[in-house]
Amino acid sequence: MLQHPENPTNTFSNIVEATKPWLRGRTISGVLILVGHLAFAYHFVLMLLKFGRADGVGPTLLAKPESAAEASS
Amino acid sequence: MSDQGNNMPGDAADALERAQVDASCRVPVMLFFASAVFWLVVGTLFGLIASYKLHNPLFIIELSPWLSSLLEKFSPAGTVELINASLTFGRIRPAHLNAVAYGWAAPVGLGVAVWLMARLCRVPLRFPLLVSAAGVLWNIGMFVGIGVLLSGGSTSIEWLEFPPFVSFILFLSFALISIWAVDMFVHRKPGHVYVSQWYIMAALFWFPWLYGTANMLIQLIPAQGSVQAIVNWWYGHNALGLWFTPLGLAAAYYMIPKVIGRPVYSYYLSAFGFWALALFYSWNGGHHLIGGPLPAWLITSSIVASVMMVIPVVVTAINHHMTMKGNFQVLRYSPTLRFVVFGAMSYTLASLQGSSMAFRDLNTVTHFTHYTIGHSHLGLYAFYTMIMFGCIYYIVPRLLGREWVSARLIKIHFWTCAYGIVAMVLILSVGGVIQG
Repeated sequence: MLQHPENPTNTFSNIVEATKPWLRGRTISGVLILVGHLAFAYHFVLMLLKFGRADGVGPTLLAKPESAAEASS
Repeated sequence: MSDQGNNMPGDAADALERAQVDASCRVPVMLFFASAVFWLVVGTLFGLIASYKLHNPLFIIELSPWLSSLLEKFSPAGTVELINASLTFGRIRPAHLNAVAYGWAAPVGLGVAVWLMARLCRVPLRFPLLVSAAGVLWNIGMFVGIGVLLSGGSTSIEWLEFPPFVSFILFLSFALISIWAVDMFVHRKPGHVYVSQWYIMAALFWFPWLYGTANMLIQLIPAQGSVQAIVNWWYGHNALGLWFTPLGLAAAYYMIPKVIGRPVYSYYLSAFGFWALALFYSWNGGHHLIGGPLPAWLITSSIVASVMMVIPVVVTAINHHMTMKGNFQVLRYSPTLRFVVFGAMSYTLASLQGSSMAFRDLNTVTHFTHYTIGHSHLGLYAFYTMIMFGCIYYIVPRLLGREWVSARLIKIHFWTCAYGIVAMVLILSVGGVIQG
């Protein structure tokens, strides 16, 4: 796949073809990011619509902190 | 809401002051955030369509027959052609860049900057109506601008695709915020000026200057010939280096110490990093034009400045790392810290990669390839956007008085975006080198 940059037999269409699998990979990673953004936007809209927790338990954390004093979002 | 930071725990007067500041920020900052999230989703869709089209060029160039017939029935003649035309790569690609850069990145940064300024000046937001008006004006500009791009009216100058009248709306909106920030700063409570404030003040001063000058020299009284390219990349790189970067760093300098509850490691390093960035970043633009028909000294000095950027980057990285040292376990549970630290680490990587790409030897291979696209996503996404996500997770509960609904949604958000962006950067880098 890797060719010397000044190899005259390496045609332009060859180079374009060689990028295709990588471009497909980019689209797949883009789909992943879109999923993340949709989850985020949905969560954000929930907050705007006042579905947020107001039970005074403290911030939403991803796991339990080891000591309660450290919990500051 | 527990809100322990640099202040003494249990200091009721301070807590009350912070609550008042947060309440005053509520409407304008949420306006900036909400519009930014909207443009983020729109911009991501644009980007995905553009990306898909690079390997399947015919994708939705023709709408599916049933959709076309449906549209023909219920909408004016020519709608189908209009949609087909507006989704071509040449239009959707600048629409992606402008939607994510000016629709998402700039407003979310402004929202964070407005809130940080109020918190750090320790005064309730002055003139909230003015800030909200600037946000509305900005979004009017965005809607018109994206409409113009999709209907084929791009100026075809990268980073300045919006026509002059749209740029003027954005400039006006931005100028309002800049003037507001100066007013806030003048009326701040006496005391220490924090490093985040320097970065914000600098960014708010630099950007209108850059944007105004670039629009003047490219749209209104166009510089001719290759000088135009110099102006273009002077603006293009400075928009990243002197606008998004200081805002991202301002947020990181605030959030990391705040969440772990200890001061920044070194005041001296913060000051040093700031001035080194101000000194070196402003002449990096020329490295986009390596090999171009320009005076060699101009490009060489730009390469030198690009490599000198290693200094502020390493200084900032050391400062953040030493602040974090001993507190890495907080990453396990704090959503804010996880996003912000991911961003701060990406800043180091993106900047060091950027310095290396300015070398002529590497540039020969990577210039005009997908490698550069990988680099720009590492910078603007993995660094800047991830830090802004972290800020939103911190600020929104404080403005709304409610906590995030679900830790699972935050986890999904973090891991899809983290894996997504790492995969994208690696794939584009390898693909780019092969292409080069």
